[in-house]
Amino acid sequence: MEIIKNILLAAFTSVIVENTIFSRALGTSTLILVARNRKNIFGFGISVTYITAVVSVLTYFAGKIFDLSGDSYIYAPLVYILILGAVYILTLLGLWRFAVTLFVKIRKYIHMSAFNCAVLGAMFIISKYCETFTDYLVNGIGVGLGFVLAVYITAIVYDRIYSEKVPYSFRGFPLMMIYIGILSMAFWGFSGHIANY
Amino acid sequence: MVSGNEKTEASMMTDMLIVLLVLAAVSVYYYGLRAAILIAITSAVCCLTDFICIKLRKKEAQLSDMSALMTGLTLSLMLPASAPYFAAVTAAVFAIAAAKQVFGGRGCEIFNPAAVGFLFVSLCFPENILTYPGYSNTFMSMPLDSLVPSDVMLRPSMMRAFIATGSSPAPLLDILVGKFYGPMGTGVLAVIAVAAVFLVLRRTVSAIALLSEIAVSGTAVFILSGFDPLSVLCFFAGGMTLFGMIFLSCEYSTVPKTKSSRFIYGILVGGITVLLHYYAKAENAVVYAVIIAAPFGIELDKRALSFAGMLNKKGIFSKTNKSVKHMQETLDILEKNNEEK
Amino acid sequence: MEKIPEENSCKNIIFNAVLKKNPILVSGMVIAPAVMTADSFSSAVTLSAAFSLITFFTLLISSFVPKKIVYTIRIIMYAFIGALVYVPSAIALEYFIPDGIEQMGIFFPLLIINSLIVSRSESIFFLETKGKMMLDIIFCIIGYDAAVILFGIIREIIGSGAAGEKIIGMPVVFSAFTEPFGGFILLGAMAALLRVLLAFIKKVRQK
Repeated sequence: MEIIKNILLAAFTSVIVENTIFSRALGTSTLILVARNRKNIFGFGISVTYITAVVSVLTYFAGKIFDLSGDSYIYAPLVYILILGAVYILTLLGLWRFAVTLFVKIRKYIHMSAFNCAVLGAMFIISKYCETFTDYLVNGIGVGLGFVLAVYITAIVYDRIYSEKVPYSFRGFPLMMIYIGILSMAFWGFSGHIANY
Repeated sequence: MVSGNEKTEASMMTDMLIVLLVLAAVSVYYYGLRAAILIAITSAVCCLTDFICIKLRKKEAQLSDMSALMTGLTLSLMLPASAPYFAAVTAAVFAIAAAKQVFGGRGCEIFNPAAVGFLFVSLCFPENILTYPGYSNTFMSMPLDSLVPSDVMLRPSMMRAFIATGSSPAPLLDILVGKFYGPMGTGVLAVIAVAAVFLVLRRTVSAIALLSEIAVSGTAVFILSGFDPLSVLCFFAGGMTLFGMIFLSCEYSTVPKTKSSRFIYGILVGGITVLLHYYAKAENAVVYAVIIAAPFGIELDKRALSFAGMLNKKGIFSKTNKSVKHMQETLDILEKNNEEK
Repeated sequence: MEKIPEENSCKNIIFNAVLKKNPILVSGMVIAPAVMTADSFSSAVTLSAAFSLITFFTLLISSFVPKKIVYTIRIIMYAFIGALVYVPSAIALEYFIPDGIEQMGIFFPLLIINSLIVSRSESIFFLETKGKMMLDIIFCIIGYDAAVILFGIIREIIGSGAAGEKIIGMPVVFSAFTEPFGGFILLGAMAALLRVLLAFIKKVRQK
């Protein structure tokens, strides 16, 4: 019971409180690209969550094999990119071999769900703060879900942000930044923000 | 409007303004001249910013548009009576410029402007906005300097104490009449409750959304506080919870338009408020909750409308059937929206 | 990827790279490090130094990657080259600005996957010569750096009331702008201002 409670708490923390976009701003550029097309969000969500989950598990084992602390931290990106690339290629090969229709569908955006700041950032953050295997797994899934949540919240107002009623100088990207800013201001409330007085 | 076809926007605005003015009068009664000045400054700056933004966008400003005044009044009632004037001005400018006009002006807001403005100043100047002076009934009790001098006792709100101890720090009567440390006009539970009944009966505030919000959050707090009714009242009075539920979440331009989505939206706002209150120990949980729930309200509306459109295409419900009257109204809104586009 | 411009003159390329298609303020690339770390002049300079180093050398090397390889594979090679370039850049910057790099934390290595690298490495498809491509890359980086440094300066002035770590007499300081959400909002406002400026330039040119 205690374990389940802890896992749920950790999942809530990584999805909502430490949300990839709203509290760390990781992967905002990808979010702008993905939020354009509502149809892809579901598939994108599954692929990004899958990749963060697998990759963070592999990061756990990589941390056991290579010592990336201290001065050798400069080689960490190399190791992480190799892991990411391996997962990416193996996934594509697997899909191509066993589910061709899915492969064709997913090919358009799988590179966006693998090579973005959210995934790579997750590897860095997780390897910095997590210790046990469950931590790695839960946080890996949580980062993916949190990213998808942010994409979803942005996509549902996409046509409002690009609507004719919005003044021209703010239409599109500038307003999206303000929108994300206001939302991350509200999500700030979750991190137990207590003023210093 | 689904919940009142005969109700015009202007009459709803008048209702809201009447209630807000009553609350403003109460706060002037408690905090004296300084409260009046703060309310005047915030409202005036809101209207002025609105006017300037409309002119910058090269649109026609309408005199009948009272929404900026309403934002200003709502915003000022959420500030403490000791709030510095520059904070009030910042809140007003930010609310109108960054949360209203940028999104396309009246009727196009995604977030409630007053909530955004308040949140911004409370994060910018927490030591000024989240500490409160004591009430008194004399007119000149508060000094009129922008920053109140240090001899005025400023304290964290009652909500902080409630969060820290878990039980109500003030007796029942004080909570009902708003005699505790807190924002100027959001703590007088008796007046706000009467206002809520008035607004619901006048169909200005959506009964479905408001009641589901109150039911969800009330029940949750009742259970989590160990079945203590006083805690529930304290939760609604402190931290502007009831005030926020009426004037921030159910304000007609940002509340969802269909009944089913209003119901779910209400549950969402209530749930997030309780979550923030207990998990994150946020003081003004409802303000955060209103902003987080706002995009979902838009999405719920879209879902409900497309669902109704689908049913209509298949001819599942006929116009004579009274039980699907609500669906019909939904469809009317859908058609109206299409015409506008 | 992007529309082919009618005129690929050098002047046009520079104008597009710095203003009309400014990487951060118009296309919205590489936002995360700017929003999270560039909250003062010095941190903005650190960020732009790190960004310029990594992006320029990664793009320089990846321009030799044959374009016959499919895109799905090419993108891994770009990322791998980025990780390779990161090693000497980290050593160099660690030597010159140790404090700034430490403040950047994980956002420094994150620069190896940035959307500018991906989009610019494809620019050879519509810019005919390699010289023009290099020009485009250099001015894109300059455009990004200028925008980020301006962003850092404005953020420092209104967010902490200082200019280059010296306190200047600001009447009101909005500390919220040093937080990430303030960064988002300020970035949106700056992007809108750039649009106004571009509309103005267009008007003047037409006259």
